[in-house]
Amino acid sequence: MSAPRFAIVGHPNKGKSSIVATLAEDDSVAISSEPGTTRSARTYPMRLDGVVLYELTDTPGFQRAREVLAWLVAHDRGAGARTAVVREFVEQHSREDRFHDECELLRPILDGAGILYVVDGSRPYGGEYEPEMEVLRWTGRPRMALINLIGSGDHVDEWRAALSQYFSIVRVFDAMRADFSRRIELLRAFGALDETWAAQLNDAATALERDRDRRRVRTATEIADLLIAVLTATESTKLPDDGPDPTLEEATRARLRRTVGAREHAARRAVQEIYHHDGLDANEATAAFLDEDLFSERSFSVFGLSSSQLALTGAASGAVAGGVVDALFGGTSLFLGAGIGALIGAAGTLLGSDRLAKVEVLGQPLGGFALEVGPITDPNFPWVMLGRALLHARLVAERNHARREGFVIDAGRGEHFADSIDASARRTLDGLFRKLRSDGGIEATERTRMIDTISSWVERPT
Amino acid sequence: MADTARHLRRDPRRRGDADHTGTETTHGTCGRRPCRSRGGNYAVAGGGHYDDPMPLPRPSTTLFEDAIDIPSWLEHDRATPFATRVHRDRDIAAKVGGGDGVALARGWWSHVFHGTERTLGARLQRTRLLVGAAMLGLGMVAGVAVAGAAFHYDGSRPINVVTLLAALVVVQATFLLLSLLLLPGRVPGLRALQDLLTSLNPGTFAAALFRRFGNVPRDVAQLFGWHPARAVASGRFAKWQILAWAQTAALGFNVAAIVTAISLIAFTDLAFGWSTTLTVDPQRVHRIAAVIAWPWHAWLPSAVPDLALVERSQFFRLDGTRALDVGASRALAGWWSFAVLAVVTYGLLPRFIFFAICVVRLRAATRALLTDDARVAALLDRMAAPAVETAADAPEDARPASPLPNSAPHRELVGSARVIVWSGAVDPAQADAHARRALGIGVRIAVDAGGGNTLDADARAIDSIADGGAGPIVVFTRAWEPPLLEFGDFVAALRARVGPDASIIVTPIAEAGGAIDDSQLKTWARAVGRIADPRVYLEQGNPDTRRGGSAPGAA
Repeated sequence: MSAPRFAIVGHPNKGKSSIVATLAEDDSVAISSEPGTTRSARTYPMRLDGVVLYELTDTPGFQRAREVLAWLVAHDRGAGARTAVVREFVEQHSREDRFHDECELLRPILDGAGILYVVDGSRPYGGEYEPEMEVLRWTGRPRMALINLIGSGDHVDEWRAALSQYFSIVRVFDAMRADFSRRIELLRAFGALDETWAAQLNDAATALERDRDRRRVRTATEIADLLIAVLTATESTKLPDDGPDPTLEEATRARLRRTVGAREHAARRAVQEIYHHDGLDANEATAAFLDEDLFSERSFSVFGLSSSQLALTGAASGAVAGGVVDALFGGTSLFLGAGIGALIGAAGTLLGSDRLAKVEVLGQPLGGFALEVGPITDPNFPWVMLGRALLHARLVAERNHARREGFVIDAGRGEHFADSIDASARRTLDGLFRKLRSDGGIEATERTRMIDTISSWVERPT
Repeated sequence: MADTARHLRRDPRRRGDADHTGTETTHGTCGRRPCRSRGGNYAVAGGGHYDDPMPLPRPSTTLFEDAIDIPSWLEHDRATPFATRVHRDRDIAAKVGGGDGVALARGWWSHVFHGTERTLGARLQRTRLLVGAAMLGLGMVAGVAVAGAAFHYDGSRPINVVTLLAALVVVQATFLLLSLLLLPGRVPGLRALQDLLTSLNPGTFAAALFRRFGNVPRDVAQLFGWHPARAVASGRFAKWQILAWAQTAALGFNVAAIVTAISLIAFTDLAFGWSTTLTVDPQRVHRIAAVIAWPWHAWLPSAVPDLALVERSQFFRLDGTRALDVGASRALAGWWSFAVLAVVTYGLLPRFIFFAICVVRLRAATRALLTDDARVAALLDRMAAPAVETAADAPEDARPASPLPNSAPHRELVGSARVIVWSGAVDPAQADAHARRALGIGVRIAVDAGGGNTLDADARAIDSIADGGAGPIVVFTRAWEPPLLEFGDFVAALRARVGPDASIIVTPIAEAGGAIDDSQLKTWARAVGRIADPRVYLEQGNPDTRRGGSAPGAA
């Protein structure tokens, strides 16, 4: 059985390409406020391991619908021959520039595609749409109308009443703001056009949902690997034989910061690619918050844990360690271990919060000395990194492929982004951060635990 | 291992340009999907390709080489678009078939890398083998020296078996036991001792040599720097590599010592005895010797000293050899087999077993280097997960926006005008009020066209306008609707009917309650510009009245 095909058709500039960009998650689709940008039909097959499960075809808009309809009416041979008449129109005019756009949009329909007719429900209905809908009716193919919402106006009811005269299914779909679940819902709804398509479309929807889950885990993996890399990052400089140079330490620190910044940038790019937003960097400036210098006070304030949460997290980790001592004493220590551990953990965390990177002079094997800067020991540093990475990942995951403008972040969202992570996840991550700092790495199983913990926070709404 | 990427020189056939591949390749962007070209190549980072259908022969590589080179290559591969990587790796996975992570990763590597130049992994492997050989040589030199000293016999007094065993067995056994302290990783309370033992380990010296002279990138150097606190894959590899080097030296030491001993025994005459300051009676020494000889007493009883030999071979340096029994010279040689077997059993054999353990564990650690690497894990994920693609196959063929007309329009808005309401832009009955308010002119005649009207109705509207006298013609349009080509057709038909002199003024009207924005005006300006008629121009109207929907007479 051939895969279901759908032609996205309609008036120019009503969001056909936006709908395709959203459904195909393809930000290479040309979307413009200028009508007629789409010149040729372009197909977007959904493939699972190379097997096509459905196809979307973006088409140019109607330019001379009344003239087409006049031709069809003039050549009408009765209801049973109307599809043939439309085919004759395309065959006769396919070499003419005059009806290039109409031929482009009718051809996939005549080849068996279902019709998805797109209108803008934020603008008033007009009589010029009726010739278009009439032409589509002549094709005899299953049809669904999608009311897109480009602007802020609301003419949905007016449109629904008109469209229901021509289409058995009318749905509202906001291409710019539709989240993943709405897209999947729409995809499944396409199955209503032809019952033979439903199974394949359901398979496709399931495959997309699984792929979405994989993206979440892959994103969490990128973030976890970023944290592992930056929490263990060090830079070293060989010390000259004539003694330490005071400028070396600052230069080495600066290099470490650049390394961390470059790693963060690479992780962001990777996350954008996972969500198929490859060109995001080239097209726009990211949010000001995300451009904030990683090591600035503001970055720590916006993204990291608040002092109280930092102390609580340190105390919780200390209490767990102290609890082990209590367990060894069979409870006879009256939880003194946990209490002392909590105090030490909290104090250690707060006292350590002003150190950005430790500096050591190390003896080199076979002679000489090297200045080693790092790893960065500030207990809030991993939370700042995590907060920034999570915010970026959520924005990317939420971002619709039809949108061409920059990220929009509510500046009044509040401070200490990492505070939103629940205590249990914070405790798990804190233990792993501590181990990374002390041991210079973690086991593969611990990395998996970090990924699992982070993945549940990747797609939480911002 | 970011640094290592640059050490992996690019294979021109693999990552070079299309000229080197000898295959026809498309370099376009097909949405996110990698552009397939003839020959089945895929675009990868840098515009290069990997030759998938007919892989070139490549030299066999060791697990260690692959554990270094695959992550390095993958680091470089991060520049390749994610979708391309997914597509490529899934394709290769189908060809590689099943297997564990290591087999999959190495199978994948055999498809993507066909280089013949020496990779970083190959260079490190060679250095690693050289260091191993050097450790073996050093151990052998030490073994010859120690055995030569321990078996030294100048005829003045017998070789003291006690000294010999101490030098060749007890010291080694002690070193071995101390090495075992390093196995569990960081042990609370023993960290200082472990650090000391680590620094004294000959394998650590070998690793330092490796790092110093092997030109090892910084991120790879940690594979050869053992930090007991690090239990991650690289730390584990470093531990077993260093221990393996140490055991290589120890094996060389024992083999050389045994060969030296046997050579001395075979080619010179040696006499053995035992001597100690401690008060130990021969019966006790015999019991100790029997315990030591227990492993071989059953199959080689002649190598177990009997009580008589023990009693006869005790000597004291002060007495010289006079105290020994008559005929002792021949009898004293009877210790040699015991001594040699003791070195084999308690020196060579444990070292061999430990070496074998190190080799097995090192291999496991090398496998873990590969599978625990985040980049390799991501690769295995890409190979295992079904490839979902939704992007277009072909590049977008977008129509560029036409330029905005830059010539100043010829304004002719005086008196009264003929008005065409295109596609229901305003109520025709209120066209006069709109015209007065927006353009400051009156209306002589107003007709309706476009929208739901038929083409015949449009023609009749044009006739009415043409018959409506001279003066400008104003066409009210809906600002929010895009100008279609049929609007251009209509204007052209109008021009043909009214003649070349009449000005045709296109005036977009805002939606009721809304306003015209700049993009709408630009869209209409471009459409008017495309008509390419100097007497057809856009009139925006009074800015104060560019809000639609208000009653024509409203302020």
